[in-house]
Amino acid sequence: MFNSTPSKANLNPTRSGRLDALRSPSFRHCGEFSLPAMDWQGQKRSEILMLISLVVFGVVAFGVGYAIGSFQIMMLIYGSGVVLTALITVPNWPLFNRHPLKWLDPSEADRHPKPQANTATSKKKVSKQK
Amino acid sequence: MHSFGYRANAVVTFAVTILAVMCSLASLSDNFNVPTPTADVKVLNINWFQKQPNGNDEVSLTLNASADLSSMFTWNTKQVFVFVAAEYETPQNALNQVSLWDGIIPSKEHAKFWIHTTNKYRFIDQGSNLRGKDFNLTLHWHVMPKTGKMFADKIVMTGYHLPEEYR
Repeated sequence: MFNSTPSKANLNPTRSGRLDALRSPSFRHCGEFSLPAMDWQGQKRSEILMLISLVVFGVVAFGVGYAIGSFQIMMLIYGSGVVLTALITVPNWPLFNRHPLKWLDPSEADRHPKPQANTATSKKKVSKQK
Repeated sequence: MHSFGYRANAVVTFAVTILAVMCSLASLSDNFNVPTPTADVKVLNINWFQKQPNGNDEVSLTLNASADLSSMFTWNTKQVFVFVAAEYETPQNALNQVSLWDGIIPSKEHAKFWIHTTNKYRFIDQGSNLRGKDFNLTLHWHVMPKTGKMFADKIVMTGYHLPEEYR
């Protein structure tokens, strides 16, 4: 699923990225500034990074806290680890957008219409759209 | 992992789950601690011993309690709640437990303590069975954790005796 190149007629490729950012809360608050969405590879990388990072911070925090005997230190290390992980994996950083999908150009898509279903009813409606 | 909001939710949820795991591990680590407390309570004086108008006996004592509870503090201990109770038997009740004094020990540094006080809470019987009564004094402690399971135990000290007559 991450490697397919779907065709979407009538959709400007870069606009889908901005639509995604429009849904994000950061866009509503930041006025005009918005980052384009992550691509599929980037999303996968971001998720794996998040999982590993949180688990590592959890293990390190517990280990250090238990060794020194300080509950507060454990919470401090883990809390800062969570914030750091969130800062790295949640926003749409450009490094997660290195393999952007090349959506099919709309004019190209129009030249290859979708195949029609061949039943009796379809002969009545011959539509160019879809 | 599609949008900003989706990823933010995923980070928060997973972070809280890992936090829950860490807290249960911290609580489990308390089981490795073997506390070795010592305690001694002396009744220095029976201040007065009366029968109340409602028919119940009441005693006022001066206690001297010393204890070393520092071995029960772990990295996951918030505080230790200590109380001293008098235990005795009457024809009416198989076991009576009356709390005489309690205190909170906030940290390991305060765990080795010595107090000299009259009883903080009134020692009143259900009825008038206290004359000449033998009783035990028990020191209870509750080790309250920062997260997880609370441990409670006690030391029983026997050999205390109330006067035969009111005074």
